Amino acid sequence: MSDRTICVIDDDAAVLKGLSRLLRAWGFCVQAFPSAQQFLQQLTDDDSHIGCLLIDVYMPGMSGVELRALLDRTQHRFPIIFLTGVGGDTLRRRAMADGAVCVLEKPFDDVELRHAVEEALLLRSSG
Amino acid sequence: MHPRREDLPPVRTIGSASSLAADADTASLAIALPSAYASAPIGLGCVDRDLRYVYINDRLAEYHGRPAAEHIGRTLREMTAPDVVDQLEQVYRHVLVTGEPVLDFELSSTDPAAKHTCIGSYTPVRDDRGAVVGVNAVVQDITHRRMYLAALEEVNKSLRERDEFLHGVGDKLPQAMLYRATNPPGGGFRFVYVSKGVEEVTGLTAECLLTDPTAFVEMIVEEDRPAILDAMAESVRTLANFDRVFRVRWPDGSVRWCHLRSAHRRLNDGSVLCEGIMLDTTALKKAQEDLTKSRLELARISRLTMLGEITASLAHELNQPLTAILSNARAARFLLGNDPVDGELAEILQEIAEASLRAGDVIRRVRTWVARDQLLPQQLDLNDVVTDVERLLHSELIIRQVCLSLSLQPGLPPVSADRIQLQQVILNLSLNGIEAMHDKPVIERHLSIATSFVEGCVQVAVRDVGTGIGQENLDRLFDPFFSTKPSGLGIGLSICSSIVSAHGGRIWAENNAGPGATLFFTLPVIGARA
Repeated sequence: MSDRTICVIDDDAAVLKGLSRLLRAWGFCVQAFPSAQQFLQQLTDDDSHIGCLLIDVYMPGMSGVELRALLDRTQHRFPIIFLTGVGGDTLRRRAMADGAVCVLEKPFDDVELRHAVEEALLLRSSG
Repeated sequence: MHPRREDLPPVRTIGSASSLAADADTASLAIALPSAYASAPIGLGCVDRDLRYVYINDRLAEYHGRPAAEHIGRTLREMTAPDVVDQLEQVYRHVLVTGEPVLDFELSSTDPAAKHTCIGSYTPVRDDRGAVVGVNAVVQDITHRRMYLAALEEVNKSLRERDEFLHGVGDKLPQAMLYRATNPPGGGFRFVYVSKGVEEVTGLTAECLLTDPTAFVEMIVEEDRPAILDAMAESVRTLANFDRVFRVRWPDGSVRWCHLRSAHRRLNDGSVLCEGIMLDTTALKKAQEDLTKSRLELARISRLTMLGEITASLAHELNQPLTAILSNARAARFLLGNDPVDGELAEILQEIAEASLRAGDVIRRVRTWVARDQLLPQQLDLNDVVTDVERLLHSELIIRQVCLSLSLQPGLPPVSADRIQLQQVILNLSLNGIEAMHDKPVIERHLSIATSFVEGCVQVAVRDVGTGIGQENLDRLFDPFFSTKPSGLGIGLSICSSIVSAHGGRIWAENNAGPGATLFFTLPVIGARA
């Protein structure tokens, strides 16, 4: 189990809280952000403590895809898991092409989540 | 009025009369003839070799505008209108010299005192030895007859002109036939005139229609026939105008639409005359049907996209709480561990999670069903799509009294897109603009659609001069269920956004420097990376 933090970014408070609770129950370190902007605000040059990002694709203000694009233009490199409430193959293909670890379609079960998170953290440790 | 007897020439000097007198009772004729000559409704006169009048009756004297008595002993030249006297003298002299008669010689005088057109016959008067001693004149005034003829000619001319006009119009009208038909009082019906357009409108020859009226009746498509014949009979009965559109079957079997309008009037003989025009409206009908079809298709696609949009939004809204429920249930189950005391609690949590997953599946299935791949991408010139929309907007613009102008950049590179969906986008943006100008004075309501090629993308800008968009709403404008209109569902622009995104494009709104706002969208051209 990695000791790195999982950052969950979702504008829906209930989702944010529920996901964080589950991840913590599993023993992960979790930081929850209600928007992409708030995540960026706490981001410092030293990002070694961050293990991976769980980002909701559709958020007011800055969307998950836009956050991803913005991070690409910085030195920050995190494995990203996209969460989406409106699925579709087009979106999945585009996200995967952009280098996301995976796209989880809401609602997803614990097995998928755990699998995705572990894969992402593994990527982070090896990368 | 009778001339005095002593003014009359001796009977025997009048050639024709003397031969008549030979067979009749000479004594009574001698009394009757001079009086008959004097009052004859034809001009009679006689001159001697010096062209001096020896006899003239009242009628001929009247032509000269002088009493008969004044003529006797005076010359032709003295008594005749100056503008004709030379010609007349020539005629008299010709008769005197040659002894030949001059018949039906016509002469017109414009002299105010004796304005006549006359036709005269001049014959020689001979003595017992056969020598020409004078000239006998029989002159008829044909001034009135001339006038009647001239008037008649005028009438004929105007009739001819009208006839030429009618025939000209009737024969030159495209896809139209003028006709006249008669309905005798005893029933029956037949054409008495059909213009040249008959073949263009009915496929039948004029001869066929004129000789066999049943050909016309049989041409009407069977399903339409009873109603049309009833309406025609009704018009003949009430003299009301006939105005119907129906289908006819051509001799070649093709079915065409025609529009027949006619007026009816009853003639003195009790028959009803029916005059009208028959137009081939197949092309018009087809255009109308095409328009209706494309409107229906657009409405259908519109409903589908709207359903898709609502489902997508609903799915998103429902999937959020489901995710929270599922995560919480799984977290609780995990925290519970393997404690056997709480076996039922574990079961509850498992069932909550399973129910959430099932709900998620239902939503996913509905989504997949609604969002079945509707896209039919093809190579499109956006200018064509804008023109489609202009056609679709036609009646809306009239009803809303909005003026539309297009500014299309020629030679736009093609995009790969679904035509109907793009029509939907431009139509929605336009309707949105039209709606925004609702409170503006009619004279100011102006919508413009412009296309251009900008930075590798084809751009469409729909500009209105309406109320503009509140700064706080600019970002949310394309969100589902966002509407500034009290009656708005907030789906129209959201659909535009979904469609444009699905095509790899971008959509946004800007307030104009002047009044109103402009909504833009861009689409990548074929070959460019989305």
